[in-house]
Amino acid sequence: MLEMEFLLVKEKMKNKILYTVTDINFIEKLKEEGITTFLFPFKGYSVGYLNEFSLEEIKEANSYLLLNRLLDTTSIKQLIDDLDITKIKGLVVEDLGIYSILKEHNLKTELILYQQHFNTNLKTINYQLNYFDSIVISSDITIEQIENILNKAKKPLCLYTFGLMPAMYSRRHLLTHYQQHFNLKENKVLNMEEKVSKKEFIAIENEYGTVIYSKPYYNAININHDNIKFKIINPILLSLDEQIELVKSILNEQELKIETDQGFLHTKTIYRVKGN
Amino acid sequence: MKEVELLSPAGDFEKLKIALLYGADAVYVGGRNYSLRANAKNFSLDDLKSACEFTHSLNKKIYVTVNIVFHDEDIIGLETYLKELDQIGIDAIITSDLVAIETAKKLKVKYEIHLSTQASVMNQYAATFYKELGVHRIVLGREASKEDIKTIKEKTNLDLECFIHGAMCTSFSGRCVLSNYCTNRDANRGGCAQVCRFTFETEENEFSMSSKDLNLIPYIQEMIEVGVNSFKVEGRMRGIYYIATVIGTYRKLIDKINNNTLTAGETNYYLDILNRCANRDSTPQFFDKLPSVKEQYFLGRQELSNQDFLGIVLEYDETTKIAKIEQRNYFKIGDIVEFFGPKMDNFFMELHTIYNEFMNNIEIANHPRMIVYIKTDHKLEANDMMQIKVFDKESYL
Repeated sequence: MLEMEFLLVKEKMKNKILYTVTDINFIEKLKEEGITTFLFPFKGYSVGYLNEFSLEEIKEANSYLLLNRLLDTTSIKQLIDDLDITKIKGLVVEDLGIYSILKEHNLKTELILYQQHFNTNLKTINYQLNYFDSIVISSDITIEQIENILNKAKKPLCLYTFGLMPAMYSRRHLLTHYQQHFNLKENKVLNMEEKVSKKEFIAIENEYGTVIYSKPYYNAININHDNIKFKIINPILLSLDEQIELVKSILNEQELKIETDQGFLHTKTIYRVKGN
Repeated sequence: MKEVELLSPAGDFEKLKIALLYGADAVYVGGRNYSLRANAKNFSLDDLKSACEFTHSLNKKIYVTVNIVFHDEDIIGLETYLKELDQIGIDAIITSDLVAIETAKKLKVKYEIHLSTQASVMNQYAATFYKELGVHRIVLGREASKEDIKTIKEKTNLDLECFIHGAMCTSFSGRCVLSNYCTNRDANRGGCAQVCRFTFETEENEFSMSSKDLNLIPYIQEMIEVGVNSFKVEGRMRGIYYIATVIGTYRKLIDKINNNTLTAGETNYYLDILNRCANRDSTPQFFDKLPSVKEQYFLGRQELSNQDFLGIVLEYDETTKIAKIEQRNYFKIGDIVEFFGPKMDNFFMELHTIYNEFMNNIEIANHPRMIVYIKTDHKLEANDMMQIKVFDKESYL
């Protein structure tokens, strides 16, 4: 009986995982481990990833495209030519304009809004759900705030539950500029530490800008709620073996073997300094 | 030429008054709550009422920032606040969070809703999304190019506001929480500690990644032509000298563009004034191209405050031709100083005499905010300013 319950929970968990693809060659192994739904950083429309994928490369039926760029006029118009919604289940987007352009072209696909640092309160999320099928709750708020939102949101929501945490997104080529300034060899990945706080970050740059991630990996995988549509897993920079280990731990509800932290889940931020 | 708005920051009532006197058509201010400059002095409701009355008495406009990214706990009191702003009679709120937009709409407020630059709008479809929500004006992302601005205007005909001057985030606005991680201060609720200006260590180096300031003086005419309605200056934390210099300079520039009398020499003169005023280099950033390595600071930069501002005129007696001045930085007999103000042509003079408050001769004015008297035949008015002579406009013409 207990084993049956465990298998049911595991099955339910599998279906809730939206797994970010870092290498197309890892997919078969990940499917063997139980991953069923994949999120592909879409070539030309995503930032902060070492690999991005075109529609031609994506063969999985249960696929979502990640478009986490803020788009300029040229790029958003180009999207209509580059997108074939029959090949995918849905889009995970940062730019609200994608809602309007799909509407204008009468293109219907599942649309999930993922603005990492916005959507931090219930009312805003419920307003956004008038336009989007689901929203990724910001990871900048506490567990209590997340649970309150999950309890009262009018549609199932998504949660970033594992991965490096995006701490900054710039249109600038910050790594190229850094390397040019100091006459260093070109590298699209850079480890860095803020001198006073000793907080570690890792930056990744592509043609469309730079994303700076906080280290270590964020772990909110244990948050469970009936109103969760997807738990997003972003195993960026992990090898295949590490990813398989990660998936096994997640699906078997075991402790993760890599170093993680819990971001702001248990740390409330402040915004007024003393005296103000 | 189309009428355009020059929009100034105002961190407190004194700055608001200076901004409007020096030529701003409108000001934006923060209330004590819901504003992204949580650690600025900001305006209480009573202050806002006085500010609104003063601004409207000059037939100018006042906008209030409600631009934090709201957490659930912040929403308590929002509805009451938005109603109070309506009763006060402000002209618009500047916001990006849907909870503020929808609450204002529900209340049927009389003021406009301006979309904050925090939304980072750079394309006509995002602009359309917000237009359909009921937003009247969009403050575009600073990353928007000339082509983006032109297309958004053509396709939406929305009122467009663009930042033209001041400090810039290294990131897209709102897309940075480095402050949260390094200092626990919430960047999107007004606590940004400007971590991009901090020092980072890598295996090879130490560096910072802060952006040089924005300065769109060379492109103002093109911006007017592509349909920008409002030209916004950053800096609610800046002092009155900065506000007077920057707003006064852009006022002259825009008026000269409108009168078709702007020369290349004057443009260079204005650029030099603005670059010196903030003690930071400034560049056009994203309007004409993507910023390069030259648009950033990397390390070893000390933020020195500008010492050019010598004093502010409090009164001028036309009979005795003596100006009463409140000192702001050290000056002495023999200095060549320049006076500037909203209604006058700048002029230089050598300081031959300085009197203290007892009308005794003194050699130096070295006490902060001390009152001194200076004789000058040029008529001055309250709120004119005295600075050390640096640039001579004649040499640019």
